[in-house]
Amino acid sequence: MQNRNVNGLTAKDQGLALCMVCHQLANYKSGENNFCPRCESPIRMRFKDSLQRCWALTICSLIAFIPANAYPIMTFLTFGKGQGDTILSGIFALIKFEMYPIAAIVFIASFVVPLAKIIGLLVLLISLQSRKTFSKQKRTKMYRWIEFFGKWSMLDVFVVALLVSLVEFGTILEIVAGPGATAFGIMVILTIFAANSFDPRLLWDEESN
Amino acid sequence: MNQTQYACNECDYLIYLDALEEGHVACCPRCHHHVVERKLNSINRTLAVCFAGLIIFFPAILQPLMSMRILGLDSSASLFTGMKAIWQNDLHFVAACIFFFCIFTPITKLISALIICLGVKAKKIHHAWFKQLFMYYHKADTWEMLEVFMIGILVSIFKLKDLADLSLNIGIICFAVLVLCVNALKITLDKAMIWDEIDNAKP
Ligand SMILES: [Zn+2]
Ligand SMILES: [Zn+2]
Repeated sequence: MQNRNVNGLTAKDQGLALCMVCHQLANYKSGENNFCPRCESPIRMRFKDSLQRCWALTICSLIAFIPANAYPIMTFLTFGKGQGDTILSGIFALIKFEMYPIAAIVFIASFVVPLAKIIGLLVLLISLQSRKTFSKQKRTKMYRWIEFFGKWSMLDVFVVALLVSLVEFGTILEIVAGPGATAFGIMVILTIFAANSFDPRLLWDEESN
Repeated sequence: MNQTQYACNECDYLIYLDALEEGHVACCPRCHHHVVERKLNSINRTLAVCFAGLIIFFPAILQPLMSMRILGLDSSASLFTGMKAIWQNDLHFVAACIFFFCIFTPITKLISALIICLGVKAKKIHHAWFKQLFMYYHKADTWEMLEVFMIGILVSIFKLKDLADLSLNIGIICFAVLVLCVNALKITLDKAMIWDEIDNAKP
C-alpha cells in the first residue's frame, strides 16, 4: 500500500467535502447548498457554526450542572418520612457504608465525567481561539475520550429508575425520584449535543493557515 | 491506478488506498483514527446477532431483573417497570429519556440492521428507503445506552444488597445477552461496505 498524499493535503485543500453520514467524499461548490451524491444528506466543509453551537451548548450544560447537583435525585422514605439525596450526598452515604468501589464508580460516572466533559470542551474551544496550542494529537485524543464517555453519565438516572420501581413497599419503605433527575438528564443530553457539534477537523485546520 | 480516495473524518487528511482485504483496518497517518475497516463476514455475522437480539429483546425488557423482600413483601423491577415508576413520579422527561435510550434506539438498530442485511443478501438494496433506514441506524448509534443501564443494574444491586434480601432473576441474563448483541452490531456491521453495496446496487 502506497500513500500518494506526500504533501499532507486535506480534503478541504482539494475542494472536497466529506459526508458525515456515509463518509463519501464529494466535490464542494462554495456558495450553494451541497448534498451528498450517495445518501443525499446536506454536506458542509465543516460542521455548521461548530464553535458557536459548541460554546452555547457547553455553557448551557454547565448551567444545568448546578440544579442537577443541588436538587435531590431521589428520596428514601421510611413510614412517609425521609430526606432527599442529591448525587453527592448519595456518594457520601455509600462511603459511610464502606462501599468504596461502588462509590468510586458512581462518583466518576455522575460527577467527574460530566464535569470533565464540560471542562474538556471548554479547553478545546479556548485552545482553538487562543494562539497557545498544545499538541493536536493530544487534543484529538481528548476529544475522542469526551465523545466516548458522554453517555456514561446517564448511569445515575438509570440507577434511580431501577431503585424507584424496586423499592416500593407502600408506606413502610419507598424510594421516590426527585427533580434532580430531570436536570441531570437534561445536562447529559446537552453535553452529548455539545460534543457532537464540535468538529475535530477544526483542530487540524490551523496547520494549513 | 485503482486506488480509492478517502478522507479522515477526524482530521480531514486525504488518504489513497487500494481495496482492503477483509479483516484489515486502515488508520489515518496523521491522527490514527480508523478510517476504513473491512470486517470479516459482516453480513452473516450481523444477521446472527440481529436474530439473537430480537429474540431476547422482549424478555430482556419485560422480565424482572431482580426482586427484593422486606417484611414478607415482595417487589421486583425490570427496565419497563423502572420507566413506568419514573413516569408515575411525574418525571415524564426522564421516563421519555429511558424509553428513547434503552428501548427505542436498540430495537431500531436491531430491526434496521436486520432488514438491511437481508436486503443485501437478497440483492434488493436499490430501493430508496434502504438509504433512509441506514441513516436512521447511523443516527441511533450515538443515543444507544443499554450498556450504561447494565452498569446501572450492577450499581443498584450493590446499593441494595445490604438493605434487604435481594435475589436476581432470569431477566438479568436476558438483559446481559441483549447488551452483548446490540454492542456486537458495532463490531460486525460494516457500514462502509453497506454504503458501497447501496452505491453499486442496480434496480
Ligand atoms: Zn452521504
Ligand atoms: Zn486523521
